[in-house]
Amino acid sequence: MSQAFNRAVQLHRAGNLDQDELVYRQLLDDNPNHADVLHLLGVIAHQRGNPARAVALIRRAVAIDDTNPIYHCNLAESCRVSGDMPEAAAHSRKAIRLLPHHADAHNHLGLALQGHGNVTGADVVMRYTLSYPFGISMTRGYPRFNPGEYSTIDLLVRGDNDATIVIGADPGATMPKPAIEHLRRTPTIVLDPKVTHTSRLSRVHFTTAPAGISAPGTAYRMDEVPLPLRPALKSPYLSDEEVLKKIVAAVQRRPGWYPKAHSGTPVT
Amino acid sequence: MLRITNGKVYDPKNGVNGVVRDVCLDGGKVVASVPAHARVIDASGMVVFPGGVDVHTHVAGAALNFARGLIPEQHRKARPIYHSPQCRAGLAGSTPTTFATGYVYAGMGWTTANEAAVPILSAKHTHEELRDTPIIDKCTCVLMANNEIILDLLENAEFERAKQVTAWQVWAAKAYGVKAVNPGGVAGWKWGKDCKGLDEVVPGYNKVTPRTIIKALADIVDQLALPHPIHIHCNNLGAPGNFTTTLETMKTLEGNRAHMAHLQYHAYGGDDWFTMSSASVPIAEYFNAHPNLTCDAGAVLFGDTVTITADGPWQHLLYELTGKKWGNLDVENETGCGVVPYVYKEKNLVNAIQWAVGLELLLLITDPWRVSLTTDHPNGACFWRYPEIVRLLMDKDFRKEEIKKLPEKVLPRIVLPELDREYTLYEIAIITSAGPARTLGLPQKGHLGIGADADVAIFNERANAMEMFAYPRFVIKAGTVIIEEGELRNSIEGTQFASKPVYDETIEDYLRPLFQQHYTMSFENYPVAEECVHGLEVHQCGACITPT
Ligand SMILES: [Zn+2]
Repeated sequence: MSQAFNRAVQLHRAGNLDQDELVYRQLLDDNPNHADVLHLLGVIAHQRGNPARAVALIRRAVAIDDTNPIYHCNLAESCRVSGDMPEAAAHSRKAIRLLPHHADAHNHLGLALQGHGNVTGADVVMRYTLSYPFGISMTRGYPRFNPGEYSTIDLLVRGDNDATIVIGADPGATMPKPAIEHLRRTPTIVLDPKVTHTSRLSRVHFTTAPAGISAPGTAYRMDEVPLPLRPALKSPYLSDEEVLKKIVAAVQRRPGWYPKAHSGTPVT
Repeated sequence: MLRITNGKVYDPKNGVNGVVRDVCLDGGKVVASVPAHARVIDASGMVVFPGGVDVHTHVAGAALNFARGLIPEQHRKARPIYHSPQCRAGLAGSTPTTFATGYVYAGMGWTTANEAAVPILSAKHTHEELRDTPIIDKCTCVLMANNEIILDLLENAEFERAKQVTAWQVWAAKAYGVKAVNPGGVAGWKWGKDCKGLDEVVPGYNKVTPRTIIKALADIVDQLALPHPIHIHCNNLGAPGNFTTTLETMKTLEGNRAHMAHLQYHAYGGDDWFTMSSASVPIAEYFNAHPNLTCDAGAVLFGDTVTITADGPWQHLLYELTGKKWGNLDVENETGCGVVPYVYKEKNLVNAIQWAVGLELLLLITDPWRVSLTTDHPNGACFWRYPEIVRLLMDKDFRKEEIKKLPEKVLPRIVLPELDREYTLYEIAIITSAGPARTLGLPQKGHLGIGADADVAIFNERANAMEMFAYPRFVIKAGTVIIEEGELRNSIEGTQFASKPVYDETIEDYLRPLFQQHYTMSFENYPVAEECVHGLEVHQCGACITPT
């Protein structure tokens, strides 16, 4: 059995999918609980473009042996490709816990965690303009930081904010129900190139030019290395930045809300 | 148009020492006269200085922003900058936010700053922050002394190509000068090692040593005719007994122009933390005798701060000494970075020596034109504490009172108690403005002669120099009144200076395949595009000098 198994692994490395699937199936007939074989059949399914089947097979392998980081790592990738990001992140984390220096597992975790927009870029810019990456309240006129109090979900769940502008994110897809309910109940404005869960419940949806495809700018990689975005196509739509500037200009035409001591309109 | 009248003018570059005379400004420049209807600022009882110039500070970029993320507890205590019609909100703590940086520098009468450590890989990030840093003019130094492409070339004695690569890199980063941080040591840190002596072979190499790197980069900078000399952070920073490394470095630089950064951190005697002492005397003696060198103080003040440097191995040591937080960054093939929050304590022997050494160097270096006032912000103290140092330099009685607060066992290890020199206002104008402008090679800065940039700081003349310099009455930048009666009235955008050395464009054919092989970024994405740098003003360097 182990000889047949080794031969199959060799064939697999040589890239002969048909032949080794055949060998694996025979092995599985002999021992339906062979975790390695289940895992490798899952890998073959993934390579053949059937990630859902890969997930089912590797899940069985993991059910038999929960301590193999490679199973978790590959399961994470199959989950990711089949669109299940939370599971992909969970299995990447398990793989990393079992094998902390496994580069693929870190890579899969990074891919699973990538958000809708350039989350790292938002962190970078918030830090250099306001000191903190997120969870910032400006209600006193200067930045204060208290995650759990000022973070988006908390504000929405408590119903603290009167209106919401959503850029580069789709909270309607992932946030808890009370938060989504607040977005639905109050004026929500979405800037997004596509129809999203949030845009469906918003009062206003600006279709914007997709960054990197038809809007220029900078994206920050997850290691915070900046990359220039050079648009390849022209878009009939304005960029997020242009729409925001127009909104700010329109707001500035309204009477200012500064105390009497200050005159004029806010500088933005 | 503006006429500043009745003020006592200190303009050392033009030899003006406290003379009451008019200064006229028009079109962003100092001019000979303005028409009678021009606005007049009556500066009676005030002194008029050229705007301050900071030759070495860390105000923007990946490392500083990494530090911002590491110290929310310090931000909580920071001075808030309130959102107002003139100001964007922010915090002015140990790592001020970008907008706050501009407001606070200008708020003390400083109008130009050199961000002293920029990796090419993240230069775009630095420029994006500098774009959001209002009012002041800015330039940057790019980190080269641990760049593996350069080190590989020096290993193979390919000096000429190293020069071409350096020139290309300076322009790619839209930098102004070249910085060397712990030459070879940061590359060694990637192997968990360091380079403490100048003749240690850099880990991972067979031949190249810190001395080779220092000499080669100094030659390259001189031959490329960059306006600012090689900007050196010596090996062995912060360590007891490191003054010998610093002397060796200065000797290696004979025949070159060189700027010794934050010299305070490189002027210690003793063998270990228990025997550490000041070595400012031998350092100042050598320095005084070698006019090819300039330096900045990198002075320390007691209190909270955060230390940020490309010197990764030193930061790891500091982390082990403090047991505080530590952040370490690897910048691919170029450099590294470490961040450690730090408190300088009056009662701590080492910190007390550091405090003394910074002041000693400022007092022992005889030519004020060659020593600039810095704290290596935020490493030694935050830049907004410069006025405290000015008072310590101008008032020996105050200084002696402060020395009394130090632990007694420090006294035999420092020379500060014996120094009676007091800086004059004229000399303060040199170390805060005229000198650093000359060191940076910015002829339009640091003076009030005709044609100079209209950057002016006006202070009430007061006995307490700290109070005097902390709150200028007026600050004018590029002819616009920014601070009036001590209040910020206007915010404008500053200029960014970059150098364009001459290089052979075919060097890209050499670099491109190296990028495909060794970088995680494609070659085309690496250089910062000119249009990404706001207010860019390019200094075209003269023809490359090749010595025969
Ligand atoms: Zn520095």
